[in-house]
Amino acid sequence: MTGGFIMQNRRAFIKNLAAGSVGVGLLGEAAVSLAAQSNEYIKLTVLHTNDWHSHIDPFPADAPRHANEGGIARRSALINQIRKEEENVLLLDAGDVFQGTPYFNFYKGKIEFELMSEIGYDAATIGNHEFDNGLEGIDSQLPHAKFPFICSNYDFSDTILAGKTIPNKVFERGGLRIGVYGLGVELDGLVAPDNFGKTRYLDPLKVALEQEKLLREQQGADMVICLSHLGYKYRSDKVSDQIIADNTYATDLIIGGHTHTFLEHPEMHTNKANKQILVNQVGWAGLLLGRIDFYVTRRGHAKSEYTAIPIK
Amino acid sequence: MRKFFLLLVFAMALAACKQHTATVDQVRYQNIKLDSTLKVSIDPKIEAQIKPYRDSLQAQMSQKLCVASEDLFAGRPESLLGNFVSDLVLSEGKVLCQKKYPDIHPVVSYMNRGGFRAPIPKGEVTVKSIFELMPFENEVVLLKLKGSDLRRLMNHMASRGGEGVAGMRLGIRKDKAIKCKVDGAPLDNDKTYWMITSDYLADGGDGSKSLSKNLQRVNTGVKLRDMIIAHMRKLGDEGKMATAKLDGRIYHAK
Repeated sequence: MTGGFIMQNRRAFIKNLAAGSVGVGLLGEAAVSLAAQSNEYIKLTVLHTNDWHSHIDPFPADAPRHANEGGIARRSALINQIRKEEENVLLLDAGDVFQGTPYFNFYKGKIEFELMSEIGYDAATIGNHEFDNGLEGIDSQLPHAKFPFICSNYDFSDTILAGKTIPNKVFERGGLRIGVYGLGVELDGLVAPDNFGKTRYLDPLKVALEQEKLLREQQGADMVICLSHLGYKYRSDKVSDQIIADNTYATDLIIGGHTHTFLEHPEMHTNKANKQILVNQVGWAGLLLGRIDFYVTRRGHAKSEYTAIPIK
Repeated sequence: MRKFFLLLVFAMALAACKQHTATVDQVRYQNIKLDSTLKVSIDPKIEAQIKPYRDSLQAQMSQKLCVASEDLFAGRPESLLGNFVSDLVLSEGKVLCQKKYPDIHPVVSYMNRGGFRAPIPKGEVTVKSIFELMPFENEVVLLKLKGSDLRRLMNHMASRGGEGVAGMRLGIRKDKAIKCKVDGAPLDNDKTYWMITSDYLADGGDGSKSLSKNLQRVNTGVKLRDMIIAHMRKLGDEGKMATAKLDGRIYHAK
């Protein structure tokens, strides 16, 4: 699995050699060979779900679509397996945990949060369906979640949720500092006004730019992940993951949700700083688990590009 | 010149030394389908944690509410199911208003045909039956409408070939509503009427855009499904059957 990594390094080195000055080239070569010799890279495995909508059990055997697929016990088994194989795992959810099966109607989200806690989710953001039983419906279930809710563009300060979510968090994995911020969709027109009360919705792009800067410059984040419930793409100019990806400077990955988009693979974008950013989303109902492994080096010279290839 | 070159090399070396920032070298990905092709079996610990909830859920879903006298199917221009649900929403809504909104006196109800997702089958009606009838989380909403806007809504219903209603009568001729009546009296364009419906329809869903011109809106916070379940449980407790009849509240006029 590391073969491709070394090859990529070498290719990038040659490319840089051709483009850059001799001085940089020589320094670069030294750095690359060091990295290659000592295998000095950190592998970060990001696992993610979105819009799993209370689908605790697999789809019924007689379901017209997705029969027997999904199920959180199966998801947990896979996550356990990956955790056995990988040292640095981050498990995230991009919102809309609530609503979709009678489990939610009867238990109001308690079991969803308990199971996510047991599986060891590191964080989630809040989707529009989390408001289905109002702000009280979120507040009453938060004690069942042993992981933080990261919401950067919902201002809950005038609501009962004041101080109960966080705007960002830095996770340490294998010596890497990974900053995470969270973006929620505009609630007006989507959620009944009574259900979100005095929640203020802030401009997602503006907040994303503030958060990535803050995480990088003040909190020393090596990588930045955006947990988004904005939606993958719209025909209108409504803000989406595409818009965030193309207009930010320092975010490495957007884990999306809301539009229930089944992406075959993460989508590569070029951001405002001409750097790569990935956008991924895994449909809905817990039918898939997204996995993205980042091979990160501190030794190599700053490359302009990396390649993304499927795990076989 | 030589001095400058040395300085340049020194600056570059310094820049390189400072490069302790993390750089992504490569990415590998997989959006993994969670199906039987996976080489892992289910997590027994999680499965054990779900079980009591699942068992309790199944017990609650299989709770018997009452008995239906016959199959209640949805249809147009009127239907047993449409009449049954619209009547119960109007009567339960009136009770709700007496308790919570004494100044509001609803006279009509409107439930769209498309919102009935399954019939109520003859025989024992369970909580599950009602979840199948109404899987959505719709809320009961009260709307104050001008007579003229109610007439526009009735025209919309006529163009659809009829919807679920209570408290009103109308004939359908050439996709238009005629002989519109509310509470037995002819519909007056200048009067105002309180209607009970769902938040989905009040928001203009299923083509009912005229409802967005309402004069006042009250979101009751009561779920439509909960209202139906409570009503049917009451029928069962009182030993009554769930039953409905066609009474020509919406008809095709010549």
